[in-house]
Amino acid sequence: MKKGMVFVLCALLAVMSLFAQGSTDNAADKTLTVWSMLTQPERAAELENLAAEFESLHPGVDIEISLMPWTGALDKLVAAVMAGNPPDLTVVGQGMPQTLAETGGLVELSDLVEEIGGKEQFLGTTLSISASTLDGSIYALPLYITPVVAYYRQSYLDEAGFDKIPETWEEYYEMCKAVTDPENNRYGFGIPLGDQHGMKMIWSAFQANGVDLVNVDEDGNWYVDIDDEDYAALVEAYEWLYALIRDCAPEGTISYTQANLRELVATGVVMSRIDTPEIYYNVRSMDPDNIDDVRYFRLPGRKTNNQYMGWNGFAIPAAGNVELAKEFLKFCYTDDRLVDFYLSYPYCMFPVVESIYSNEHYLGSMPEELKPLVPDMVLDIFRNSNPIALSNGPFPYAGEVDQKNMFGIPLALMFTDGITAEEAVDMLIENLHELIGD
Amino acid sequence: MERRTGTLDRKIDRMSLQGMLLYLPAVIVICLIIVYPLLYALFMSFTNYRPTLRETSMVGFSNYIKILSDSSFWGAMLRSLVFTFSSLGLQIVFGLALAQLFNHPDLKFRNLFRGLAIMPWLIPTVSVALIFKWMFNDLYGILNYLMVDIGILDSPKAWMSNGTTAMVILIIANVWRGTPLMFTMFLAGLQGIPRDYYEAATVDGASAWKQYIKITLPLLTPVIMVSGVLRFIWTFNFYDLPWVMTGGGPGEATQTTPVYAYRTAFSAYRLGEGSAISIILFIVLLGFAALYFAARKRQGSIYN
Amino acid sequence: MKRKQKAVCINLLAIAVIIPVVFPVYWLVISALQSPESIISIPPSLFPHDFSPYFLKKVFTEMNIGQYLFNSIMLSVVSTFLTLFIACLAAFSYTVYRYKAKEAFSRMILFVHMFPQILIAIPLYMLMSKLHLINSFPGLIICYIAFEMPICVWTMQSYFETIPRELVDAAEIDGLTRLQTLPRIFLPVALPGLAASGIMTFIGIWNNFLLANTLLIDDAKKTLPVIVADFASRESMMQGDVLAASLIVCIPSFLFALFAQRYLVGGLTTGAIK
Repeated sequence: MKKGMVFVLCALLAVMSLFAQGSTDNAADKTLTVWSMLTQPERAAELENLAAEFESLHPGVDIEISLMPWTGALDKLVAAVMAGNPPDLTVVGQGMPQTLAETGGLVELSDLVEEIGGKEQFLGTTLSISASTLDGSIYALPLYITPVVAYYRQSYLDEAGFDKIPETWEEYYEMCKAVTDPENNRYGFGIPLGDQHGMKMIWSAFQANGVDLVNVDEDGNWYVDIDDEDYAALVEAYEWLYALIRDCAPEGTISYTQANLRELVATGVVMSRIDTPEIYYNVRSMDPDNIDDVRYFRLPGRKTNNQYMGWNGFAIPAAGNVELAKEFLKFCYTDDRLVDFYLSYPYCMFPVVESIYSNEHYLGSMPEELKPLVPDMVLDIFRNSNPIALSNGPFPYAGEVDQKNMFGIPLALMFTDGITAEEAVDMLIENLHELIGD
Repeated sequence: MERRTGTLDRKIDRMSLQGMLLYLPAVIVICLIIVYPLLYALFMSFTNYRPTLRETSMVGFSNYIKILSDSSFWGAMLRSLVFTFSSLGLQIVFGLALAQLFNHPDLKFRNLFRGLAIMPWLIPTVSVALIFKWMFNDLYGILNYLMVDIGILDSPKAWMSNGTTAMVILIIANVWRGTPLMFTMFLAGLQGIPRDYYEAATVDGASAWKQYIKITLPLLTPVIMVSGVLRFIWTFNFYDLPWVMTGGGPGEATQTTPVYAYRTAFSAYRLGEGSAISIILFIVLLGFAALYFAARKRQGSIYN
Repeated sequence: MKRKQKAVCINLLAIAVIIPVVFPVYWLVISALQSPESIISIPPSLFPHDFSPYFLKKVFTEMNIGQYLFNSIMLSVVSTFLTLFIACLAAFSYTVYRYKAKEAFSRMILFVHMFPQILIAIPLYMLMSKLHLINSFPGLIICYIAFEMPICVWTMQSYFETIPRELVDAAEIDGLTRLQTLPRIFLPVALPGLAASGIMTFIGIWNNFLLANTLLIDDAKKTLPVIVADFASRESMMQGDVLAASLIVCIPSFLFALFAQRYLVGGLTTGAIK
């Protein structure tokens, strides 16, 4: 009797588990969990629209988008990937694909890229920063990119009698200096050395002066690639920034965070900095009457026209619903479907695919302030941009360079500890060596 | 006879068991949160564990060597010492002064003053960090302008942008925050000193200052020593205030030991190294703990 | 010096001394209630008159502070109750029972009291991740219980110790088991101690930053202090938002200070001396 009961129970359990397996498989096939850090209501809504459109074309499919802020997002993703229950699709920021790819938990996407039209359609270096190996592996699809520009306020320039747009580093310094008037709480320049966002300007300066910093050999080993010319160029860049901060910026800029500085620029205390067009959001909320006064130009190049670029993308964890995720991405990247998405948050999100820059709807719906930028200036910027610490390929430690503020701290020390520019550059090089372990 | 002993023994055993069981939840929680993680950290400190690496391998003592030869680590330890000694020293001085003042028989509204004096302790550290940062802000800080008006400064100073001054502000904020605790302790201590000591001393012709040195301080010293070591341990390892106020900056100027530990472990997920730091700090803690027990013994012996 | 003159001096001195103690709190309250224009006025005025609930409203509506307020309240209340419960059991065990492990247990409590949270934060993070307790409230609650226990245990012990042995013996003769003396005899006497340590524990957990910051990852689960620190580095935050949020975190402490001052001071004394 007992044995019989046990047998029946086991059989029941086995059958039940089969059904359970079956049902979850069915459910899993049809659900797509998406993690998005694009929390602003406008662009979250557009992403939902894309999802809804996809759902209507594929009945039975359910796309669940979870919103979360950037802080801690990488932690969450790493934890989820390690635990084996990641989302099916996730938004990733700069430096994140490199970190995640190391875990082995991301799907390689070269074939997907081919299916949506090949690498050539993507702007500049947007694809190359995705992977963390040399052999051309792609672990993320770029979603949007952001240029950096240099701001100015027309009225401030008029008051100071400055009448041209700077085209060299020296002229940029002159412009900032002319406008600086601490008595009246007006400064020409600012840079947030208190967190890692100052890196945008510093990397732009390095790039513009022809420095690559790191390189990779045929065996896939990264090394620090700085010769005497690069060294001198680095020193020059640090010295230029030093002069700008010393003469044209508020003293506190060494400890300002991005939030502090954006508030100051938006209220007109600081006139110029190198930053993305997102400042317009702040100006709209803090100084809307003067929004016409705030303008921008391309950061002057020096030896090259290269500069920093912001980057965001999509990645597909390997343990998720890979096929459905690929389908959804294919859907998004065809027929300019992403245009409305880009338009929902236009100061920050710029298309990664060159063809969209000829899209009439896109060009026609640009906000006034961005019209000078799109399409020619921004295409020019993007064709010459690199997000972070790259030379000839994706740099696996990009995230750490960012996190540890490796560009900004030597510059800050020039003020707090009085080290020279050479010592600052030495420190940067030493840190890079330590990081790469070459 | 035997039977009665047997029952008594069983009762005692049952009671002992019951007593232990009552204490057990507390012990279990402690083992879960302190003992087990420490052992885990000890093990992990010999690995190169990073959540983003596919495989973890044993690396012997290399984490320890890396940290102990890192100048940032020793810098952080030094800064923690500076921070702790300065904060505690000032907290003790101010705490004593406040306790003496607010214990004075001629003071009106004593309860009000005492209530106000514990206010700083109530404010969460996060808020303390942010309000002090704001008060010393180079463009909008009220204290900057006050100091200019009074004549101490020529113009508003960017306190947070200079390594030394940032540390000064950090210490000031911590002193402000921690003095109430010292004050309360000294107040209780002062109230525990019998009045006749002072009366006898006055009869003998001793001045107020002499009374202070000969009566008050010696009787308060044991209390200072015991809680002093404890507060030293906590202040040395205080994470919240430096992290929110400066994040260790500018550069590394306010990077005290806990900030260094957190940064190393979490900015790049180097948890093998992070574990090694935890173990090193634990050993440092043991050193301080030995001090604490020595101080407590002395306090006990004074009263015996 | 004449007695009366001395008294006036003392009172004036006390006022002078209390000003720097209270000023930052005053400034926090004032700044959080300013309007967006006046908060960045140069030079700032000591006694501004341009008040506005703009930032407080903004923080509640746009930044969803209600969610974090709820998290903090829930965590603090639950943890405090559990801590008091476990601490009472331990204190009772120590005071009333005799067994060999007693002193060892007591030393463990002392050890935890000394233990700085940063030491164990990193291993806890690793361990909780492995146990899938990361980013969960239960995991955080157990941590809070561990660190807040010592003060509660010692406070309750000091109250329990005041109850004379004869009372316990008499109760046992009357038919109460030893265990029953806890709710019937000990706790009623020790209620002030419960209140004091309860308040201390609540404030300690409410203000906690390190553990909540390390062990909570989901935005929706974060507590107030963590969010306030986060605010300070978010790019769209204005100084006023940050200050308003900072003010809100202080509310329970202010409430306790207003209505339960006696217990606060008592609790502080125990904590400081031990």
